[in-house]
Amino acid sequence: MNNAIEVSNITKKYREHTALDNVSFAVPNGSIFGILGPNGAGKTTLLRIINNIIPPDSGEILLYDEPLSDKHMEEIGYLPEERGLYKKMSVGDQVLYLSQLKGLSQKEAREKINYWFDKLDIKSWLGRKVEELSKGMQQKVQFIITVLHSPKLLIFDEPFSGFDPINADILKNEILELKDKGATVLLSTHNMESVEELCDQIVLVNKSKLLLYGEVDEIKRKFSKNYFEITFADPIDDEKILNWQNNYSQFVISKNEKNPNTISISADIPIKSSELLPLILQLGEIITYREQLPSMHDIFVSVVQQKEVNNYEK
Amino acid sequence: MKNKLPIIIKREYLNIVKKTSFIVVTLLGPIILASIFIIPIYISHINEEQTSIGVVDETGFIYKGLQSNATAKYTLLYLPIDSAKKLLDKEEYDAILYIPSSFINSPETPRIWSKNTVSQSVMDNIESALKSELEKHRLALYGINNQILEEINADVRVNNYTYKGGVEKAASSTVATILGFVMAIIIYFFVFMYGSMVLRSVMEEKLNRIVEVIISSVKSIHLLIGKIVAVLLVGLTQFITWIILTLLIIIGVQQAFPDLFRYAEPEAISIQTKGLNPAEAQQLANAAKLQESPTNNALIALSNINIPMYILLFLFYFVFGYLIYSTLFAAIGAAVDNQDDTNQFMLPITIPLILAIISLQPIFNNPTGGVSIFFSLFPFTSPVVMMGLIPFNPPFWLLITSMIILVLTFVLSAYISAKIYRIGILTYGKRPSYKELWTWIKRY
Repeated sequence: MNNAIEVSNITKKYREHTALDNVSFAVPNGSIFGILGPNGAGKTTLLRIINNIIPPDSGEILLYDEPLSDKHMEEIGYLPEERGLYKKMSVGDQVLYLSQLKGLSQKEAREKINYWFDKLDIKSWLGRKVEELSKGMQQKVQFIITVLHSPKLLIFDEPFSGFDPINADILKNEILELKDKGATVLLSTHNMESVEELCDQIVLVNKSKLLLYGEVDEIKRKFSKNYFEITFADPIDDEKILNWQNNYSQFVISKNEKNPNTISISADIPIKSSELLPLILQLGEIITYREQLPSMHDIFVSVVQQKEVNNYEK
Repeated sequence: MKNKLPIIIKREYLNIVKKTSFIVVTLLGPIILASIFIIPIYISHINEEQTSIGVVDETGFIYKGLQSNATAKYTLLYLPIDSAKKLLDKEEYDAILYIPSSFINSPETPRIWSKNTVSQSVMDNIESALKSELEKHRLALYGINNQILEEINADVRVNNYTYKGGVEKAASSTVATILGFVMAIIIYFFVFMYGSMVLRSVMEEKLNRIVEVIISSVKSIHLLIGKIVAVLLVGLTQFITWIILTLLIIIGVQQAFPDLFRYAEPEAISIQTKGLNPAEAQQLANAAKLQESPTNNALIALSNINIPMYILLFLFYFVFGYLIYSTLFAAIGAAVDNQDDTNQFMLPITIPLILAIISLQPIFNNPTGGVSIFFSLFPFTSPVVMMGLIPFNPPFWLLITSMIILVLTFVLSAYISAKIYRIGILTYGKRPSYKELWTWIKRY
C-alpha cells in the first residue's frame, strides 16, 4: 500500500460552473501533501469530496486501496476552512461530543482529551464556554478536535489562518510530529512558506483544472529561472564585469547594489554549474555559489497568471 | 461504523433541556394551567362574602322582589333616607339602596350608596329584581294576576343526544366546542413551538460553522434525524411534566384549602305537576334532574367521549403534525443564513396553520360541511382541525383518510427536507430561490 489516497478523474459540476474538471492525483502514504490554488479554484470542493461530504459527479476515490465509503469517516480528521464551535457549550463537552461522533468511547475520548490539552498546555480551558475564548484559542481547540481520534488521514484546510507566528510554529511542529508517527496529511493553504517547509508533494488547482502535480523539489527545479548568486572575497570592479559580459554574452550579469562583493548571473537557457563555474572564477575568489530556485510563491503566481494569459490569447 | 444517532439525540436533547428558558417555561406552564382552574374557584369563593344592604323603599312593596342570597343580604329600613345613609358611617351596612316613590313611573330613579363599590353581580341582581317586581306591578294594573304569570312562564331547554345504532348518549355541543378548541390550540402551539426549535438548532450549527465538522463524522441525514427526534422527546418531556405538575398543584391546593373546593348544594327545584299525567310529570322530573347541577349535563357529555382514544389521536396528530412542520422548518433553517430570509420561507407554510385556527369557529358551526372536510384532510391543517372535530364524532372514513394523507405527506416532506438540508447547510450567501431549491431536491 503506497498511496493513502488515489483520486482518479474526478469531475464535479454545479449549476453554473464546473468546480473540478477531470482531476487525478495520488497522495503517498505518510507524506504531507499540499493542495494549492487561488480562491475559488475548487479546493474546498475537492476536500469535501475526499471527506465523503459531497459525492463527485464522476470519477473515483480510493482510500487505502478501497473505494471511499462511510466507514472511512472515522479514519479521517478534517479541519475545514469555515470552522466553528458551539458557542454556549463548554470546551470539554464539545470535544467529547465530537470525538464520540468519530467513534471513540467516552473513556478513550477523556484520556485523549487529557493528553492533548496537557500537550498544548491549555487544560484550564476545558470548563470554559467557547464564547469566552479568543479566536486563536478556538483554533487550537479545533485543531485538537481534528487530531484527537488519531486518524490515519488528516485534512487541514487553511490551518494557519488566525494564528500568530508562535502558535503557527507550534502547529507546524505538531503536524510534522503526526507525520513522523505515520499519519498522512493533506494540507490546503495559501501560506507558501509553510508549503515549502512542510510539503513533500503538491498539486496546484486553478479554475477546476490540475495545473501542477509532483514533488516540491522537482517542481522548483523545473521552474528554475537559471539564476545564480555568487559572493566573492573582494569587491568586483565594474570594468571587470563589463569585460566578462562582453566575452560571455549568453549570460546576463549584474552587480548587487548593496553588496559590491556579490553578483548575480542568469540565462535564458539551462546552465550547468560545471560550465559556469570556471568562467566565474576568472572574476575572483569565490566564497559562496548558489543556484537561486524560485519560491513556491513565485511558481504559484507565474503558473496561475500564465494560465490566465493563455486563456486570454485563446 | 457504530450508530451515532443516540449520541446526537442525547446532545441535542440535553442542549435544550438544560437551557434556563426551557426550565422556566416548563415550570411556569403548570402554574399558569393550574391557575386557570384554581383562580375562578377562588374568586367565586371571595364573592361569597355577603354584602349587607339596607333598603329604604318609599313605594312600600317593590322591596318584596329583593331576595337575600349568598352574595347579598337585604334589610328593610323604616327610616328617612338621610338618616339611613348615616348608618353607613356606623358600619352597620355595606350599602344603602334607595327606592323613591317616583320609581313606579320613572324606573331610573333608584340610587345606591356604599363605602366600597358594590360588585357588578350584586348590582345586576338588584336591577333584575326591581325590574321584575315593577313589571308584575304594571301587569297587575292590567288585571293579570301572579298565578297567570307563573303559568305562562316557560324555561325552554333542548337536551342534546347522539343516536347511533339504537344507542343514545347525552351530548353537548358546548362541551365539544370547548374541548375541540382547546385541543386544537394545543396542537397548533406545540407544532409551532417545537418546529421552530428544530429550525433554530439547524440554523445555529450552520451559522457557527460547526456543521461541516459534524457531517465529516456522520451522514447529514443522521444529524437531521437526531435533531428532529431529540426535539420530539423534548416536547413529550415538557408535555408530561406539565400534566404531572399541574395535577400536583391542583391536588396540593385542594389539600391545603379544602373549603375552596367544597361542593355547593344546588337549590332544590320544585316541580309543578298540577294538571299533568304521571308520564309527563316523570319527564319533567328527569329534565329537572339534569338542571339540578349545571355541570351535570357537561360531565355526562364529557364521559361519553372516548378519552383514551382521544389521547391516542392527539398523540398521533401531534407527532405527525410536528414531523411535517419540523422537517420543513429544518429545510428552511438549512437553506437560509439570516432571520429575514427565514421569515420569507416560513410564511407560506405557516399560513395554513393560522388559517386552521381561524376556520375553527365556522367548522364547529357546521362540522360536516365541505370546509370542515377539506381542512380535516389537507395535511397542513388537519392536525389542528381534526383535534377540533373529534369531539363532534367525525365519520370513520374521514379520520382514516386524514391520517393516511398526513403520514404520506410526512414521507414526502422528510424526503424534500433531507435533500435541501444536505446542500443547504454548506451553502452560504444569497437566499436561494424556489427554483434553486427545486434543483437541490432533484439532485442526486
